[in-house]
Amino acid sequence: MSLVLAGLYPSALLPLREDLSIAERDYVVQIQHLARAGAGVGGVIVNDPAGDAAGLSREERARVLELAAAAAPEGFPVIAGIQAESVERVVELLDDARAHHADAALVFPPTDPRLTAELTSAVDAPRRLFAELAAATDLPLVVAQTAAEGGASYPTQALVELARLERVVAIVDAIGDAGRHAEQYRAVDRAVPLLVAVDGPELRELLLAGAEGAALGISNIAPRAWGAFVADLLAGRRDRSDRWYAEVGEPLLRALGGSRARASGSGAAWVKHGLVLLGQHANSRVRPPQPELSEEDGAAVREALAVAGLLPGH
Amino acid sequence: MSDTSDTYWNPDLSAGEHDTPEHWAAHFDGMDPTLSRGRFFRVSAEMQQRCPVAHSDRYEDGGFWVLSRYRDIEQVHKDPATFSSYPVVCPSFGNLRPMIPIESDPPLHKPYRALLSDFFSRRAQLAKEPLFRRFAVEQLDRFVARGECDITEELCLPFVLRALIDMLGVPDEDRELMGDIGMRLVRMDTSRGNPAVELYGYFQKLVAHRREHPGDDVVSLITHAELDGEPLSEFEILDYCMVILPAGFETTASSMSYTFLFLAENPELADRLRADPALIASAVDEMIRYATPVRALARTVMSEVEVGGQTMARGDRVVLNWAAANRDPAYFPEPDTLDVERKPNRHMGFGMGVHLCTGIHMARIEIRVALEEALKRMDNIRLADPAAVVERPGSTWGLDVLPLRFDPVAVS
Ligand code: HEM
Repeated sequence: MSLVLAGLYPSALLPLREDLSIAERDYVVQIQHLARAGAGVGGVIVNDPAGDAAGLSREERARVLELAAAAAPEGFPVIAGIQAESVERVVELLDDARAHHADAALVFPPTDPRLTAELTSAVDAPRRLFAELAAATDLPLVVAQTAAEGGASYPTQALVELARLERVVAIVDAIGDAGRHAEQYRAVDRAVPLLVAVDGPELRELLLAGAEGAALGISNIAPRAWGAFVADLLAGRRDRSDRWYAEVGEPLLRALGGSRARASGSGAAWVKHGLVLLGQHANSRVRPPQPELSEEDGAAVREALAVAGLLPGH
Repeated sequence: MSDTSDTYWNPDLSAGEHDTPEHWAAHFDGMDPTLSRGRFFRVSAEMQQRCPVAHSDRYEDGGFWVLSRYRDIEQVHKDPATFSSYPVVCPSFGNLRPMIPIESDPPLHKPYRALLSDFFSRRAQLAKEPLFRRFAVEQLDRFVARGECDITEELCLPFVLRALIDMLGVPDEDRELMGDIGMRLVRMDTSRGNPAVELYGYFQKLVAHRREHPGDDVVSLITHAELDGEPLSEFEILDYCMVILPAGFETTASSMSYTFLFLAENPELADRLRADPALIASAVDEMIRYATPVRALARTVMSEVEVGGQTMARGDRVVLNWAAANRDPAYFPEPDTLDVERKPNRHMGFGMGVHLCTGIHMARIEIRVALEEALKRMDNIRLADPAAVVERPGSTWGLDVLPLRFDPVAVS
């Protein structure tokens, strides 16, 4: 498997028009914006189910992939986020990802509660699932485990076995618990890279507990700086990374990716609103079931950008 | 070398202690004011010889590459997928939305650009020649009898601005306002507020007006344009409008002002063009090659690539030194000679490839017409005082003040 993931993988926001249709040209510009953000940004995640993708039809997700693949330059992998209720639907989406030139698939646990229960408790279940998926596609697979709370994370031993599967090229970890993360990192023992996917102030601690990179929605804002931060931190250039994190990264994470945003489940709208305030996006509309931003949350985003020194006039 | 000459253009003049090939090789800055008076070209030639793919530590975090050879820059122009045009200036303005179409990349660039291709075609612009001529003559008539002028202030800027205001479809009652914003924009005069912000606000109003009252102008065209069967978004419309005025103003006025400088310092050239006006068209392009007012713009590397033996990584910034390419002896025989009959003259003064200047025909006609009419009315053109010339560095270099003396000629 030639795809080696390292560095930052922004989960690309999907610009929508006021009528909630996809603003296709704006999306192309957004993908290109991320691709130009320097060597620290390793590629891009599209159709992240934690964002607008949950509200897109199968055709729309395919179109999003098609646009991203056309916009992404060579050597800048497009990783298709995939989540569905059943294994059959996951396989369908894998086929779509293949057909629309994704370079890899980021596979979330199926949402059927019975499956989730099995995957998170039985050590062998994740391996069987991914072996089945690997047989159904020749795309490189990235294993995603979601936040412990309300999500699905795999037993440590299951991850170790997943990392041994030939088709699996990385693990994206959003469990947000530094102790557990460190344990999993040690157990996986670099068989495949581990990427942290937590848009919250604990990000730095998690990265230092062991990771080869990060997958972040918040890095749609200032992607070049986020890419440099992750690269610097993981390469031990702590002076630069710590200064930037203290001044810009952490204030952003505290407000935009902090517990309030996650509690309201509206991370995508928060980040979109940030881009509106920076003049980069036309609006912060999101597709249901993503909740729209409240006025109060909008003010919190503005405050966060101001504290991070990103708003003109501050 | 000290400044004992009575010419303004004097590339060999030293700019001071720092003016060494070693300094420029490591710290090149195309906006350094000490590169005035043509020194830019001497320094660029040295870089082309010694370090054709240099790396400067100026401005952007991590510095930027500087390309000086024609063939290396041509490679970049031929590969817009690898070399993104955003941000097109170095250092970047910090705009987060790419300016359209100059900072647009494939696949969007082509359809954006196509929206205005008929409007800016040679044929359509030639049809405007009588109008441009009238604007030029109106300006000339205001000062020729005096026998002296600041040609930048009295011809180049007002004439070019007048043509642009017409092209944009600015209603008569707003001309003065737009003229004021345009002049402050070009002079970077923020004493009465930010002219770019005012321009944006003005275009918002003009776009709203043109939605209801379309005319035969660029703003109406963009406002009513469709891509893939859909109208452009408000952002797209405004991002397009915002490019046209700066792209067409300073560039054309600067090219014109350098042309007058070269005529004033090479009177035999002025006499030759006066005697044979048919040469003026090719002279315009040669002057643009020679002065290359848009000296250099930038690209961002999208995927690892080799240029001139150097490997560039994704995210690296690359400055294309068109001024250097335009004097590359591998492409231009006797590159430092102003040869108004030069043929072929595939210079990069208007860029090259997919981003080749959209306004190339408009600009050529404007400058040709201004020269034709000025040469008829101004004989024995000379610099009033080389020390009074004010040159302005930037991505586009220009002469802010160019005082000339001449013998007025009555034209019936
Ligand atoms: C002598 C005068 C002019 C000079 C020297 C000049 C120079 C240039 C150069 C070097 C580029 C290439 C930029 C790049 O590759 O990144 C360019 C592009 C452009 N110019 Fe001009 N320009 C002039 C006049 C004009 C005029 C009169 C207009 C319109 C009214 C105009 C509109 C544009 C536009 C829209 C682009 C972007 C084209 C694209 O990206 O496809 N320019 N110009």
